[in-house]
Order: sequence, then structure tokens, then C-alpha cells
Amino acid sequence: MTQQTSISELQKRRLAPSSVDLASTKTQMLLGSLFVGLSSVLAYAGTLSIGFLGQETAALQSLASALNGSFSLLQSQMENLCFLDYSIFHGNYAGYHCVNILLATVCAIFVGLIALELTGRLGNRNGAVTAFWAGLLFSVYPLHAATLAPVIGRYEILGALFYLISLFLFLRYRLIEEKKLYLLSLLSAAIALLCQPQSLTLAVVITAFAIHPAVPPFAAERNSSAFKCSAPYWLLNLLAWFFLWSHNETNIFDFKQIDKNIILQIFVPVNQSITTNNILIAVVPLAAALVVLLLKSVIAGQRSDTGAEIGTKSIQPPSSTITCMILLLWLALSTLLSAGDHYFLSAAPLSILLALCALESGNNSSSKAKMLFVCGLVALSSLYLSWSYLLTLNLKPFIQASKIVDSYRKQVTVLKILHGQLLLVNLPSNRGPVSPIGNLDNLKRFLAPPFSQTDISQNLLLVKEKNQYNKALLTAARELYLWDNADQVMLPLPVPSAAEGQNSYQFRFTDLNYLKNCGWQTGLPGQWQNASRAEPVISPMDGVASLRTFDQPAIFWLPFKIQHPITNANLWYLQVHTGDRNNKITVVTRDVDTAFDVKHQGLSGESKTDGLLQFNLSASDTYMLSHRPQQIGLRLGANQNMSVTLIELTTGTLSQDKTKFGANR
Amino acid sequence: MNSSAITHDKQSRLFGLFAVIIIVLANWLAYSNCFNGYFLADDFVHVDYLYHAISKQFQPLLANFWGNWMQAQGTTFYRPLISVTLALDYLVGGPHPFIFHFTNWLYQTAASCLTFLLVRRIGAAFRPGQMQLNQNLSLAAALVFSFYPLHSEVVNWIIARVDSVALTFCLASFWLYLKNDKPSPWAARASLLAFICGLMSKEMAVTLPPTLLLFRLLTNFAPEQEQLKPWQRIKLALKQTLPYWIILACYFVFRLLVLGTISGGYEGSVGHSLSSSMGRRWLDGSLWRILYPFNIEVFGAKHNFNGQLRIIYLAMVANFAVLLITSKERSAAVRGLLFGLGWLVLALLPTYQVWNLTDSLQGGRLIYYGTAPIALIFAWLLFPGDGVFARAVTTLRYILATWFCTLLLLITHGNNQPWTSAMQEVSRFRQAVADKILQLPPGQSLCLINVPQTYRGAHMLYNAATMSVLLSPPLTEKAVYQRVKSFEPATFGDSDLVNISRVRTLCADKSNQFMRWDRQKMQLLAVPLTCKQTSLAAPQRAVPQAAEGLDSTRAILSPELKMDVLDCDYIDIKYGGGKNAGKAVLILEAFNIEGDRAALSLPLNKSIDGRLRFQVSEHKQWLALNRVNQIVLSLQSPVAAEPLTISALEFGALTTKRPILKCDGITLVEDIDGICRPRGQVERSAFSYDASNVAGAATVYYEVSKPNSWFEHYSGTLRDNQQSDEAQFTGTLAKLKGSAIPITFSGLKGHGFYQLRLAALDEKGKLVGYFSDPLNFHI
Repeated sequence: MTQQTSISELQKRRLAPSSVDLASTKTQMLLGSLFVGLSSVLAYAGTLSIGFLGQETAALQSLASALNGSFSLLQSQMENLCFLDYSIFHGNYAGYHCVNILLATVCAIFVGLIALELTGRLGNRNGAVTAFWAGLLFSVYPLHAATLAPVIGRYEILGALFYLISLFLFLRYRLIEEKKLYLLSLLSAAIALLCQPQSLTLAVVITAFAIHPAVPPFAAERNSSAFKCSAPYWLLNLLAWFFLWSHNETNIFDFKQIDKNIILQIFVPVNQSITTNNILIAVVPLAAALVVLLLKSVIAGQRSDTGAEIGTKSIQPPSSTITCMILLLWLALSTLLSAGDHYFLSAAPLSILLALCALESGNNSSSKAKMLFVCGLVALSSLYLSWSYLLTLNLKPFIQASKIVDSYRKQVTVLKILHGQLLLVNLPSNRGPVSPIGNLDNLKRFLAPPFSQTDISQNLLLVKEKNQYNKALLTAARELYLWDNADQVMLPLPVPSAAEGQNSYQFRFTDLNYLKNCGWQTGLPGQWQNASRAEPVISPMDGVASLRTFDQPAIFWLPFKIQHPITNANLWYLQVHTGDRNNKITVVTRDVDTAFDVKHQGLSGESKTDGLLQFNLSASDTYMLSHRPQQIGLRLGANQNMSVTLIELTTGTLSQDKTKFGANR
Repeated sequence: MNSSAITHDKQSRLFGLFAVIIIVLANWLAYSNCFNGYFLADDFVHVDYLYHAISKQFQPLLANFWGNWMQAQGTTFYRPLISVTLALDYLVGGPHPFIFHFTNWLYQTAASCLTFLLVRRIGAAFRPGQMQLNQNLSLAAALVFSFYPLHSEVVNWIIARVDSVALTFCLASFWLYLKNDKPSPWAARASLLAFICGLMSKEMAVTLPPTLLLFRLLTNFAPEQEQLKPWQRIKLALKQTLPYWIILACYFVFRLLVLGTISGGYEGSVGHSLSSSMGRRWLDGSLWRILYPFNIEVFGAKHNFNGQLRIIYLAMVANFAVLLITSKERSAAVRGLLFGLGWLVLALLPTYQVWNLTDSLQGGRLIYYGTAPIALIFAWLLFPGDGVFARAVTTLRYILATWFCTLLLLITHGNNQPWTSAMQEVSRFRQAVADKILQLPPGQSLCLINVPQTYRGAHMLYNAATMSVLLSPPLTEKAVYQRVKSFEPATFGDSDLVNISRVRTLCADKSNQFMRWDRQKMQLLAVPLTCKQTSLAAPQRAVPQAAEGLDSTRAILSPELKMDVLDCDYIDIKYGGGKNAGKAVLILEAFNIEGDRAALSLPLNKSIDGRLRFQVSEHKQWLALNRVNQIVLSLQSPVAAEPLTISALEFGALTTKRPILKCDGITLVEDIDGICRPRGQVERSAFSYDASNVAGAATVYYEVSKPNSWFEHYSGTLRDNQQSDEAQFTGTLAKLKGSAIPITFSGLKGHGFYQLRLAALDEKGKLVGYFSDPLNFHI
């Protein structure tokens, strides 16, 4: 009997078999976090192959110096704290990228947690599905490429991380009223403010969420007033503002002018240089956004219908409209204070917003709502896939730039070892929005520790720096190397001889022989001219010629054949002696070998009152760095009239250089 | 009141607050760039008026309440409240444009908010109980009104507030009238007061009583009213709106007493040309521009927004049609739309005389009042009722409304651009002229050949009067205007025409420095005219070689000319061929060495004996060239025609073909604006004339214009060779040279601007040559 009793008692005491409760929100969130982490790692795995870029060298070198005891280069304590892992990775860029990916993953998880808090306020019946999607979308937001690809994007990631932690802890505190959460939130906010000025928006966002009317009813009694609990964040903001003001960093208050392009870039997040080729893919997110917008409003109807069916006393899930508006406010503020094209933090409200709108139907039990819920999932899936694809596209320029840096460094190193002193013409040009090296200082850092075993940065000279060519260097040059951006090789250039430098390049418009064969309709001096309006006309006059276009623009090609303009300073400026004061002409160039192939457009000059129109040709890389024979042309717009006497290439410097760049000006 | 009704009311108020915030933000988004603007055109007249009115203890402002607005000549308006609003701005901010622009924006925003409030009540009157639908309707109407692209003129141009102030009062009156449906005597009184204020702001307010009547006619459909006969309905509606009709009648009587007319408006040749071109102005596609409100000079003739708008309009109409088919509430939907259309027609009626909405949207202010019903119509087409699949359809409607509003906002931004640029240019012009004057040695004057008149439809400086304010205190620290001689029209007119006789006279005086305003560079450029009365004693003839086959695909270019602009008064083009080319236009382009261009055109059907005469020297753009280097002839023909053969060009002067006319300089003195004004109490003023230089002259014929009329407004040129039908009186003088022209100032029809001109008659009494340059005088 006793034995029987003890067996049954034992049976009763036996623990329930272990199982994963998928219906539990916590379990869903845990699994979701794993997925988000996986998604993040996969999305940014490509960054592991991106080496250091020019812009990063200064920060890392100052860090290296600081850790070696030289604090003279130390820029900011906070910046160095961000790169404590230098002591582990040193020159191994993949290590820094690993940490960055890890931090971005944590950010994505916190985005999910914030979404979970927000859906909880809305009577969540979805479990962690909305939160999961918010985190997932954040993990693949295409504009993150600008933050994740360079190692120094870490400042932004860390700032965003503490921002998100602070917000999450605050929302949590509003729910369960635990003081320590509040204090931790404040601490995170302070760290976020130290990392980046964009965190100044935190106080506004926290205040907005604090006065959010959908506070759970059981917490209402104990809640301190919304303004009271958000006041310390404003105090932190004030301190940060005071700090910035005292350091004369008031430019952060110059809010970015939000224009059509920025809004378009937020919602169609494609790198500008590749937009044209992938516009369809880029439009998919827009279409998905439209779908989620549709779903949201339809669900609003579902909710009110259900409410009517159940009766007014039933508990209806509150509408997400106000939450969405706060998220929009957060998005707008983050975008306003974002630096350049870095929108890491802006992606957080956007991701939550999209997930919240698309999956709101999960808050409703009707069958139609479930169907719409599935539609929302489909929309988000398509968004996720297109964003993932766009992210890989946006990472491409960084990967290419990294390869260029690698190749350039290697070739320079070899040449440097061979020659000792090295005169370089140029640095690699930008790849899309990415500048591979940037300037000579960055290049020198690349050739010194910690990026190189030994310091070979001495006696390295660069002809072109800050868009200016150094003439003095050229005159003393014995060896000259040009980096060919197309073939990515270092080309030796012939050193200019004194005789070549004295060649005169002048064209007078009295040279009727050339005018008659230049492709324009040319008349005779003192004669009336009957011309077709389909082609441009030259009317030779007394020492001057009138160039006139009708309905079409036209180019007048000069008779000079120009080679290696970089080596001859006499070819750096173009002067057009004209009677005009209103005409704006454009200088274009073309390869002589591939005639009519206009290589470069958009070098426009400005005439002075004395009728001298000057162009700084050395401002055009296409012209200066070409190693093929070139021809220069003057492009007149439609229905333009210009009187010209003389055109010459000179070495003179402009007293007021007004040369501008731009395509098809 | 039960709890449901209270909740309902609370929700409604909350939505109202939310909507007002949205509307204010919308207006800020659309027009925030106008705050840094400047004064334009008529604004200067008002700034000057306020400057002097305030120094006279506001007496002129008070006089506006019982007399013609601003005691002006040439116009008859009753708008005293507008001057009060301007005076308030002036008192707050002085002569700085910011406060004026800010209050302009406030009136626009107030009108938008009132559109919201009013349309909500209109919706409730047609569709009682449908709160959600009416909320959508009202917010959509208000946003469409806020973003409507035809508002650029009213918001950016300070004096165009006339329309926004009047509309604000009228909308307030209408809204309060509807609020009065609930017992609220204060609302009734306030409504009448707002109506009176509207009438004191602009004449457009007279449309309010008929609008209210129409509203009542279309909403008196309660169950107990359904059996009413039409005349009973009208009687009932009249009874419901009676106080407004009484006020309107009083207004007309008062207007008749103080102004002497009911209609008012523009007088003189401006009024006459408005009357004569009325039909053309209504039928030239201007009504179409209300629906497609693009400034063609900003957006071009074809823009993809046009297609987008078309799609939106089609979708709206389809939406309305679907509702008519599927809903049972057709009657309310149709009546609501009818009211909107009726209101629009009523809003357009008072503009019949002055209506002119050009390609560049000049005259957009005239439709400002009408944009309130337009916004209602669009909103009504968007939200006509619930129908089937209400939720899904509503979502699509939201999307359509958002698309529409976004598009309107983008167009508005484009349409605002000319105004902001124009204001910037006027400001820079003022600075440049003031700086130049201060640089000139004492005793020297600046002769400005041109001033910036308009920019892509934005008004800038019409005449010397507006420019005088620009260059005098309080807008310019020192009164530099006294040293600026200009060639602008006395009030309005063709800005390119110039009195060449006056130019030659001023040019002979070395103390005058001629300059022109370069609009591209926004700076003053010297025009060193070589001054001679005319250097071509005899016409010079040029026979172009290879001048056959001129059609629209070819051009004929001259060799180098090196001709001073004052050497030549006209260029005759002698041509042959050109059969079927009656509608073709010959274009003469002249260039100087600096690349500046003057372009004149004449239709071939104006040729006499195969000869077309370009009166070049009466054009400022010709003078601005200073020295002509080359001319180019081209042809524009709408249909294929036989090519022309240019046989000869003749460059000639009109020295022997035009009499000379001047004021005597003692009793009648020419001022710096080119207008002659009597000095002292002079009954008969002396003119000085000489027709003896005209070959074949036997007697002299003279014409005096009607008040505020200009002969060139009718003929388009200062060189008529025919008598005008528009002269007030004419006469003949026996002497070819003298000063005795029988004109007495008391014999003219009151105060105003007049023109006098002379021509030589031969022995048979036939006009020889051309009329003299007209002499403008102001009494």
C-alpha cells in the first residue's frame, strides 16, 4: 500500500515533459532574435572583405598612437573607446567588421524589442511576429551599407544602439514602473548623446511615447506624469547642446533641408549611382509600402465592424494610428539630424512602422483579418527580399573601392621601393559615392604602421591635391606616374621637355580654311548669308566671327590635337576672347581616335566684362588624366549667338576662378 | 444631451483641432518660402500711400470709407478695409516686407481653415448624420484649397490680399450663417458683420447672398419641405437669406452715392481694352487653366503633371459615377455637386469684365474666390457618399486624395518660383540703382532704358510711379529717385515702347548717363548711346546676295553692320514671292557684339507693296543694343508657303516724316518720368510744335486722347500714320510751327492723364508721314 502510494506520488511529482511553447511571446521573440541575427550576419558578411578606406586611416592611426603612448593625435576619448578592440585586431579589418556586424545585430534585436513593446500597448495578439519583422527589416535596410561598410561606421552604430536601448528601457519602465530600468535608460541616453548628435531626438521621441494615450490601464494609476518622466531626457539634451555650443559645433542645428531626393532615398533606398539600372527593384518597396497602407486602412474598418458586433463594452484593440504618427515623427527627426547619407537610426522607426501597419490585422480575430494578415506577411516578405538585394548592390561600390585601395597600395609600394622618391599624378577616383583613398595624407598613412610593416611614406609627392595641380612639382619631375582609373594600373608618363612646353596653341577666327571645313556653315566676310536652320552658322567679320546656332545646340571643335595635358602646364587653361557678356558656353573634349565620342561635358566658364571667357581645364580629371590624344570643343546651346576673335590654351592662372562642373550644363 | 451625443461632439471637436493643425502645416509647407519676399508692382503704391497716410493722422485711410479707394484716378473701387489691414501691418513692422507677407499667409491660412469649417457644415446640411464622410470631405476640401496652385499670386503678392481678405470674411459669414441653424443670435450678428467686412474688402463679396440662396434652394429638402412648389421654395429661401439681400441693396445704394457707379473697375483705355477683349479672354483656354493650373513658363507646355492630373480627374469622375450607380443617396450627392458648381459660377460672374488668366497664371487672383467652390467640388467628387465596398473604396479615395494634394503642392511650389525670383530681382534692382546714383557725380542723372516689369507672370514694376516709391524713403534711405529718368508707361502699357524723341533730347545732355538693367546678370550695364538727332540723312539700301528661298527652315544673316541704334528709325524689308504666306510672320533679330539680342516680328499681311516696315527705334530692346553688329531674318509660317526672296533692305530715319512736339518747359514742364505737368494755376498751357520739317506739310492736325487713355494702347505703336477713332477731340492748326494749340485744361474731362500728338497734313488734307511722338500730360 505504502509502496503503491509512493509510486503514485512520484508519478504526480514527475515534471511535465520539456517542450518549446511556441505560443509564448518570449519564445517567439527569442527565436525571432536568432533569425534576425542570422539575417544580419548573412546580409553583412560581404563587408568582411572590405578593407580599410582612406577616410578611416586617420581614426585608426590616432588610436594606434594613443595605445602606444602618444596621445598627441588623440582626437576624442569617446572615439577611442569605440575602438577598444584595436588591441585585439590591430590591422585586421575583418575583426572590426565582425564586431560591427555583431553590434548591428544587437541593434536589430532592440528594434524588434521596441516593436514588441509598442504592439503590447495595442493589445497585441500577434505574439512577436510584428517585432520579428521589424527587426528583420531593420537588419537588411539597404542604406545601412554606408554605415556598415566602413569600419568607422561604428560610431553611428554604437550611438544608435544606446539610443534604442534607452528607448526600449523607457518603454519597459512605462509598463512595469521599475526605477532601475528608468535609470538605465537615462544612462544609455547619455552614452548615445556622447556618440552622435542625432541622439538629440531621443527626448522628443520619449516625450511623445510618454504622452501616448494607449498606456495600459493597469499602469495608469502608478505612472508618474508623462512630462515628469521625460524631463530628465530634456535635461540631458540641454547639457549636450551646451557641450556642443561650447565646442562651437553649432552646425548640427542647421537642419538638413528635406527634399524630394531624401524622401525618395529613404523609401527607395538605392545607391544613387546604380538607381537607374535597378529602378524596378527599387520600386518594389514602394509598392509594398502602398500595400501595407491599404491593409492598414482596411483593417481599421475590420476593427470597427468587430467592435460593433461585440458591443461597446468589449475590449477593442486601440488603433495604431497615433503610434504610427509618433514613429513618423521619429523618422522625420532622425532624418533631419542625420549626417550625409547615413540613415542607420532612421531605419528603426521605418521598419517598425512598416511591420506595424502590415500586420495590424493580427489584432483582429475575424477570418478576413487573418487573410489580410497573410497579405501583410507576403508584402513584408517581398520588401525583405528586395531590400536584401538592394543592400548587396549598395555594398558593391565599397567592395570595389576596397579592391582599388589594395591594388593602388601594392603598386605604389613596389614603385616606392624601386625609386625611393615617387611623384604621383593622381589618386584613384571615387567609386559611386565612395572615395577609396581621399588625399595624400591618407595614402601616407597607408604606407606606414599600423597599415604597413615599415614606414615608406617619406618622399611621396602628389601632383593633384584638393582639385589643384602643383605646377612646381612637374617642372622638377624626373619620374611621373599616372593612375589609370579604367585599367587600374600605374602608367609612367613622359616628362615634359622645355621645347614642348613652349608650343603655342592659338586659333584665330580669321583662319577661313579651317572654318570652311569645321562642319559649320561658314559665310564670307562682307557677304550676306543664306543658311539652313538645321545647322550652325559662322559669319566671319572684321577680325571676329559670329557663331550662331538655331534650333539645335552645336559644338565647334578646335584644331588642336592635345596629348598628355598633365605634363604641359600650357594646356591647363582655355581662354576665349569674345565680345559677349551674356553667353554661357561649355567646353567639351573628345578622343581624337574615336571621333565624335564626347568624353566629357560640363566644363563651363564665366565671362568677365571685358569679354574674356576663361576655363580652368585642369579642373577636369577627364581632360587632365587622359593618356589618349584629345580635341577640345566649344558647345553652344540652341538659339545662341556669340562673337569670338581668338581662342588659346594658356598656362595663366585665373584671378577669380569661376569654373564649374556638372553634366550637360 | 445624452452621452452618445456628447462623445460625438467631443470627437468632432478633437477632429476639428487636428484638422486645423494639419491645415496650418499644409499652408506653411506650401508658402513658407514667401516670407523673405519683397514688394512688387502695386504694393509700392500702397506703401507710399500708407507712408503718407500715417503722417497725415490716418485721414486718407478714413476717407476710404466714404470715397473711392485711395482717392485714385483711373479706377473706381470701394475697398477701405484692405488699406486698414495694410496699415496695421505697417504700424507693426514698418516698411519691411516680412510682416506684410506673413499676414498675407495668415489670410490664406484663415481662408483654408474656414473652408474646412464651412465645408463640414455644408456636408452636414446635405448629408446629415454622416460624420465620418463629412469629416473626410471637409479636410480634403481644405487641403485642396491650401495647396491649390492658383493661389501663388494672392499669397506672394502683398496687395493681392484683396481677394484673400474678402474670401476670409465671406467664408466666415457663410459658416456663421450655417452655425446659426442652431439658436445662436451672436452667430447671426457675427455673420452679417463678416459679410459687411467682406463687402468693404472687395466687390466679389456681392456673390454671397445669391450663394446662400442657392444653398437654401438645394438644402430645403426636409420631409415637411418636400411638397413645396418651386416658387414656394424660392420664397422660403429668400426669407431665410433676407438680411443679406437687404445689406447688399444698402451696399449698392451707398456705392452709388460715394462712387457714382455700381459696377466700378478700370477706366480709360485700360478699361476699354478690357471690354473689347472680354470674349477672347474668356475663350482663350483660360477656363481650362483652372483645372490645369501650371505656369507654362515654369513647367513648359508639356509636363508629366498634366497627365497625372488628368488621371486624377478621371478617377474622381469615375468615383462619383460609381456612387450614383450603386448608392441610394443619389439626390444628396447630386445636389451637393450642383451647389458647388453653382457657387463656382457665381464666384466667376463678377470677374466678367477683368477676367484674364494667362499662360503664366497672371491674373490667378481673379479665381481665388472661386477656388473655395472648386475645392468643394473636388472634395465632393472624392467623397460623394459611401456606396458599396465602402471601406476599400474609402481607402482608394484616401490614396487618390493624397496623390492629388501632393501633386497640387508640387505645382504650387513651381508656381511660387517666379514670384520669389521676381521679389529678389526687384530688391536687387533697387540696391543697384541706389548704389549707382550715389556713385554719380552731383548734377548727373541716370537714364534707365528699361526696368524689370514682369518675370514669368509675376508682376514687378509697372511704371515710373511704382519705381519712384522703390527709390524713395521709406524703402530707400535717401530719395535717389529724383536723379532717375525713366521711359516707362504712365500707368500700364507695352513696356518695350519708348519715346525716341525724348531719348534723343536726353541723350544730347551730357549730364545724363544711359543704362539698362540686365536681367540675366541682375546688374546695371552702361548703354553709351552715340547721340545725334539722326545720322542717316537719306535711307541706306542694302541688297543681300543669296537671299532667295527664305522659308521657315532657313535664315538670312547680314554681314557686319557696325550701326549705331540711333542712326536708324526703321528697317524696310522688300521681298517677293511668298504666295499663301499671309499668316506667316517675318522675324528680325538684331545682335550687338556683346551678344545681346533684340527681336521684332511683323506678319506678312501688314506689308504694303511687298514692303514690311520695322519701326525699330521705338523699341527699348533695340536701344539697349547700342550698336548693331548683325541682323538675321527668319520666317515663321504655320502652313507651307512659297519661300520669300528678300530683294532689298532699307535703313532709314524719320526726321522728315514726323513733326516735333514738346511742352514749353515753363507753364508745362516735363518731369523725370516723361510726363508733363502744369506748374501753378495755369488755364491754358503752351506747347511747342514744329511740322515744317515734314516734306509736303501744309497744315497740322492734332489729337487729344480721352482721360487715362493712350493712343498706343489701341494701335500698338507710337508711329501711327492714321487718325485715331479714340481721340477726345481733334483740330487743325494752320501754322506749321508755333505754340498755340487750342487746348484748355478746364475743357478736358476732369483730372487724369492725357495724350496730345500731331501730324502733318498736305494741301488736300491728307496725313503725311507719321504722328509725332505723343506728349503725355497729367492734370
